Amino acid sequence: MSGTPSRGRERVPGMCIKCKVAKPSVTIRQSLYCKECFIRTSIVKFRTGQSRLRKRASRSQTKALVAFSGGGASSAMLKLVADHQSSARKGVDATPAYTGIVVGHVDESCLFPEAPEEEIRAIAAESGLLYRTLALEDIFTLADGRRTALIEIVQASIAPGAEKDQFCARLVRPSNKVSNKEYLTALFASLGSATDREDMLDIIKAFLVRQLAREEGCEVVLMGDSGTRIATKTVALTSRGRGFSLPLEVAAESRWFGDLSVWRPMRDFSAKEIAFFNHWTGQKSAAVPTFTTGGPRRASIDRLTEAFIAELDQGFSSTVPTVCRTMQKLEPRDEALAAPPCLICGMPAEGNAQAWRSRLTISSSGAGGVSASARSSPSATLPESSCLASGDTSSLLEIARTVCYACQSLLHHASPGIVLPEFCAKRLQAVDASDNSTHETAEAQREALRRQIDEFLLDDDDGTCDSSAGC
Amino acid sequence: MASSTSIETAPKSTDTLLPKLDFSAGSLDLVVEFGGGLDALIKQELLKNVNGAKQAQIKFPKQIDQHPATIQDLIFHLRDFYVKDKPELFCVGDKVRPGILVIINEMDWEIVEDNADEYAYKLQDKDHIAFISTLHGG
Repeated sequence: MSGTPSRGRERVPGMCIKCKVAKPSVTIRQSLYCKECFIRTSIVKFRTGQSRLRKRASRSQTKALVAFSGGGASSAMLKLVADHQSSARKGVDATPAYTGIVVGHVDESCLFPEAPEEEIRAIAAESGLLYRTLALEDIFTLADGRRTALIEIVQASIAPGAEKDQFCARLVRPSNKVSNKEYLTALFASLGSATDREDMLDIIKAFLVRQLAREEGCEVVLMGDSGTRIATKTVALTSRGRGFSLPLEVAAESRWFGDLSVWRPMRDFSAKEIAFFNHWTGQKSAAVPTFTTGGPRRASIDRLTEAFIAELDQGFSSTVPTVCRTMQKLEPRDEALAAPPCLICGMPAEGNAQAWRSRLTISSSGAGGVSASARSSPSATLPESSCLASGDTSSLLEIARTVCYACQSLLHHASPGIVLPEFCAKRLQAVDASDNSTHETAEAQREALRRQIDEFLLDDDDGTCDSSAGC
Repeated sequence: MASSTSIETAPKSTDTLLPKLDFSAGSLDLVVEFGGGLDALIKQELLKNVNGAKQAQIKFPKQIDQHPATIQDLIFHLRDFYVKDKPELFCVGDKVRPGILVIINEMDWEIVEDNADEYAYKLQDKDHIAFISTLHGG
């Protein structure tokens, strides 16, 4: 890849590295480019990356969803993809890259009223491609617009006298008195820190983007993670305890989600290249708010890592490419690929995460003095949801085995009574069906669980929990 | 950080937000653009929307403390008078925060100056200077 033989590798001092006649306008990793060569090089680089990805894809013709937040990287990606596609149509290029392209966006105005959704819509409209959105709160209405089961985490703590953490949950029927927006804001209010909130936001957005792709019949999701973002994610996800699934989260392509391939074509571009590309091609982008926008650098792990990488990269401009090249060599372990998906984030859940946690972390400073019942007061923000199975303790599901290490930490710091979206209940079922563990008690428990879920999902036809309270 | 420029903060000014500048040695007309979300840090009443780009037109002294005005002087001026309330999101110490790109007349400022000190760049009349954040939390 780096050693492409090209005519005239030798540089003309003080001139553009490509055309060697124009005065340079930008330096990218110590190489000088003039404006025209920079733009052309960026387009060629993107198309080369695209054809490399397509060659490895199972089908040559695919429909793609561009995951579009409105930020700089995804705006640049949208322009590159759309231009590539239309130039192919005009016959400049032999075949169009995709059979169809849909722009998919997650509307975050429920959590961020200041989110520039109109501006984002306008930017997407310029591409001329179909623009589809789901709102964050739609995470609570997925099954054909109907609301199905939610999971309430009743207890996430060390039980007195127990060696391991316990994560007990129960299925609840969503209350018609509570709108999806209220469920969503309550969910984020229950989380313990800005880092956890950003983590959950990532999880929900990623899920909704895949949902959009499936609804539109796309086989490929294009994510706009830049090289700088990959480097940041590498450090941030490792510190959040997501090392097990990290290779999947930063890979140029991932097929973890079976029917959907996730591609990251922007990883060959640094944030600086993207900013210059957008500036020089007139590509607009929006400022997408997060929980820590305008906050101090230590507001969250994401903010801190971003600042850390930006500072390093300023002094050592090879920081980002070095991290990215190293990450490219990272392969998910077979064990990870065979692992069940985490109930919450959907990434592989390592089997012994629970044991890891109890060995490595201090879970409760009160050393078991806090009894489980004292902790499990319901979060006061929501009216009592009707519990699926009658409210005795036997209806509690022990979910620790199906929650990954990082999400266990997230639950651990959340307030008891946190209500998780529908997809969690769905995954419980999936895990249950695919698991062939021989452990007897676990087997019996899962069997009970399956019965509960089945009963509940069938029950849903009675129309008592329609989507009328939503949106 | 008392490292600001030699600007008299005289209260009497048509625009009460800005200090009175000393134009005895002449003035420079600059266009300063804020992108990538940086515009949110700037006092909105000082910004103009020009085809979607958030710009400030600034009349800046040609000389500051007997030396030609540099971009460092401009950065202090912006930090002290244009940034709303969180100067640390624009500058770290005397320098522009890492992750914020500076483009001078469509050129990466890292290569504008031959001597590699981008902060020493001497401002010229009609300069167009863009500050673009590449940071998420900007």
